[in-house]
Amino acid sequence: MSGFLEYISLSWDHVLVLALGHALVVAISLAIDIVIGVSLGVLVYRRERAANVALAITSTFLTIPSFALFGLFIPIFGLGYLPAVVALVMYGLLPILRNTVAGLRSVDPAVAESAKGMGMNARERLLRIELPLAWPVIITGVRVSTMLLMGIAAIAAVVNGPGLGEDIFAGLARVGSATALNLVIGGILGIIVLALLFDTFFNVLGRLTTSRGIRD
Amino acid sequence: MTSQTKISTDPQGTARLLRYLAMPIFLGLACLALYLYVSSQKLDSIEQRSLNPSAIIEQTGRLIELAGISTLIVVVLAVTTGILLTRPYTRRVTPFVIGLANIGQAVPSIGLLALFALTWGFGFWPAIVALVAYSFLSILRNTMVGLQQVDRSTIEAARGMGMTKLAVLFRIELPLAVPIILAGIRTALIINVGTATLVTFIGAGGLGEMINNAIRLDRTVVLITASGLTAILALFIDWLASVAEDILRPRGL
Amino acid sequence: MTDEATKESTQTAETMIRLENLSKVFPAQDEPAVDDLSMDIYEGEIVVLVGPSGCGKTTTMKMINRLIEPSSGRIFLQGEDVTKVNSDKLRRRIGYVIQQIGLFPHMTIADNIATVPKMLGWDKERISDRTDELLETVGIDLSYRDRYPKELSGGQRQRIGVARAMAADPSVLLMDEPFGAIDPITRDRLQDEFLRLQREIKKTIVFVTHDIDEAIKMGDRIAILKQQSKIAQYDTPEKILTDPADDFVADFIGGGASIKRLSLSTVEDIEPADWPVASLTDSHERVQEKMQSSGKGYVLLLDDQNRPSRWVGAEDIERSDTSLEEAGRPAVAIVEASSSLYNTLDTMITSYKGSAIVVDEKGRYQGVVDFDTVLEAINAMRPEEQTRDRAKRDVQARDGGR
Repeated sequence: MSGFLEYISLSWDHVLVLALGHALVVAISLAIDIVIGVSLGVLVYRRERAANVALAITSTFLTIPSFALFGLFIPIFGLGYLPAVVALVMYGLLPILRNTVAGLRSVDPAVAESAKGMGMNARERLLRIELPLAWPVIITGVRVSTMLLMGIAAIAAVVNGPGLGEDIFAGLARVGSATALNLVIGGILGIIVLALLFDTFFNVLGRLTTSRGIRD
Repeated sequence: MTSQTKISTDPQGTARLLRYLAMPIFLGLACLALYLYVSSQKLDSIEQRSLNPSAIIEQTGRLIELAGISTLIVVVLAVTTGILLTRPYTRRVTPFVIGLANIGQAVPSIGLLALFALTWGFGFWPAIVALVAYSFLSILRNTMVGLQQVDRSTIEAARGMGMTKLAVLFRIELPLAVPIILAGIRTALIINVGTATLVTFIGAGGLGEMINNAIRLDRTVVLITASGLTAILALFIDWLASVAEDILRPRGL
Repeated sequence: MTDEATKESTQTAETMIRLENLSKVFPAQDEPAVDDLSMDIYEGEIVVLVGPSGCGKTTTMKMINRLIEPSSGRIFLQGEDVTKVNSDKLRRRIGYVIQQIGLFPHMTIADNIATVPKMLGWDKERISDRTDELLETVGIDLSYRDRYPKELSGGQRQRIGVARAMAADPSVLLMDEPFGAIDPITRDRLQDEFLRLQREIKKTIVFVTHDIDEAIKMGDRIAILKQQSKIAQYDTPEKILTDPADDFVADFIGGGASIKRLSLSTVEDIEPADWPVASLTDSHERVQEKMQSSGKGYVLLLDDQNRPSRWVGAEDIERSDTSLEEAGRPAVAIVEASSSLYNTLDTMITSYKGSAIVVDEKGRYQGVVDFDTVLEAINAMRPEEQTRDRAKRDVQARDGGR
């Protein structure tokens, strides 16, 4: 334990740089996921078959072991940032898509009907009624994706991707040395801290952007 | 990690059959494509050694072995713990556990593997322990949520008829929670297949070793083949599990 | 309202809505849901569409604002053919209230009400003034502007639903069982308030309900619909009650048509009798004088604003030391002049001595009605029924004889 504390006091800047890289790659992938996931959700939530296809495909992504996916991407995207982001985007899509669809479908039919009866066209209904009401559920999906991506991003190190995974693999490579365990623990803790930070952020963001009328 | 909510309603007859067959057909085509690709390439000695059928089968077997054993262990442990933690006297713990499980999803699988390997050594059994540890929280959460969802009034009716608490557990709660547990098993399987690909880094072999070697030695053909096979295997296992889930689900639920 | 006045007003009024040969066939069904329906709705009247479940009344109403597109036929709004115009724009001209109300839970009350005006491009100040005006009209305190629907009771939400529908001052309101989800006591009150509101604003309203009593209470004219929205009878409530067109209508009205008829007439329609009255401030002797000169055994005491206060009999004021304010018993059986005869009878049954005191809208004494007076009024309505019953018996006798 004291060994670890000593390690941190010496190498905190190194861990910080990796942590920032880790946070960045997750943030970028999340942003892309939100854009694709919500847009796709909006497109398919009314059409059952299209929704089922979209959900099935995105859930297939999650079934593929991340190591294998990263491996497959090397010949296509090379090493570094790109394969990492592409893979992360694929993994983070399902929770957001699924929650967007579920959230939009959960809007009270009476509310939707009265909006239509008042003369709101489809676009206005979507933007002013349905999305705001589905928003809490969508945010939950984003939080789930965040957790997922935090863990998977560690594996990006095998494709020379950014993030704290680098330390974990380094620790594995130096088995037997004094720093090995510290590197690994540092990596894991760093990811957990980042995960907590991101989750808190989205939690607060969710509360702030959700109308008081529907907050429980 | 696969989706556990069934969004669609069951279509009839042939449509359903097609839905079941879609994945194996797709996988079969993928295998074919892979085979054609490999045969069309000129392989050097390293690649030939890596890609001979017996090596592939052995690695695949390793992977399945790791995933299977760890899933068995984790299901027994997590379901039991889940039952214990959803009893009336422990129910207060539930939100805490679920919250923990949510954050726990962020723990990197490779990190846990490394942790166990560095503290207990490399090899098969540390890998198993790590696999169990990694998927434990997820299955626990699913089990607890599933048991919680059992309709309170059903339980009340059973108690009102004079069933003991134990009888209620075994004759009411568990049977009603079976779909959730089945889904949990399927999830555990998929998680563990995914994590098991990484055990090569702690000396436990498996298809991941093929992939890793291909990366280190920069052999694209092997890389594509190994990664492709791993993906196909994972999807196939998932498909088998989903069929089993549908077959084993008690009627009426 | 009396027969004669409504008859005249509907005949000279403009046709606000005309439905011409409207039909609707849903793809999954063999029979049309609405089959060749034609009807006119005049400006300023409440037309109630009523009928058994599945007769197509809601479908018909929803075709007016084209939430359901007609399969064939035409719809005219204020003379304009709106069958094919842009439906979103059309709906902004028509108010729409549904049973579950459908208030937007994520918006404040004020934002809910402001929805259509905002879509029409009103400026902020106009919207704000209009919101305040509407809140007052539907009887909701202005402090509720920034509250959310989840903080309101069912009755309050219903009122906001009506306010929201009227926000852009549409000439037509469509209401689909608007009071259906409310408890009966609140529903009664809301219905009364709505009728009072309508007297002021005089909108054209199409109202759907399955409850014949609500139809009789609310409607200027009622369209009783059979399956596929075929019109069994389309007339004023009085006509329908006293002269049902066929057995279907008679069955639908159900028993107690005569009693229901009583709910259409108000106390104003009959002459309240005069009763000896005195003031609370009068002396005992004065009151006794009144009692003796009128020959009635008891006298009604009024307060200084002429509002009925107490009934006193001879024995109550024998002793001069009892103050008048505590003598006798309090006068509680009081009805407003606008109350229906039905409610008046109800009040009278529970009153002392079987009579009800009639007051104006400020609570001031107008007169007293008792069972005799009401009975006279009922008898006056009966000639029409008696003629019809006699005719029926003649027909039966004739057929029986063959």
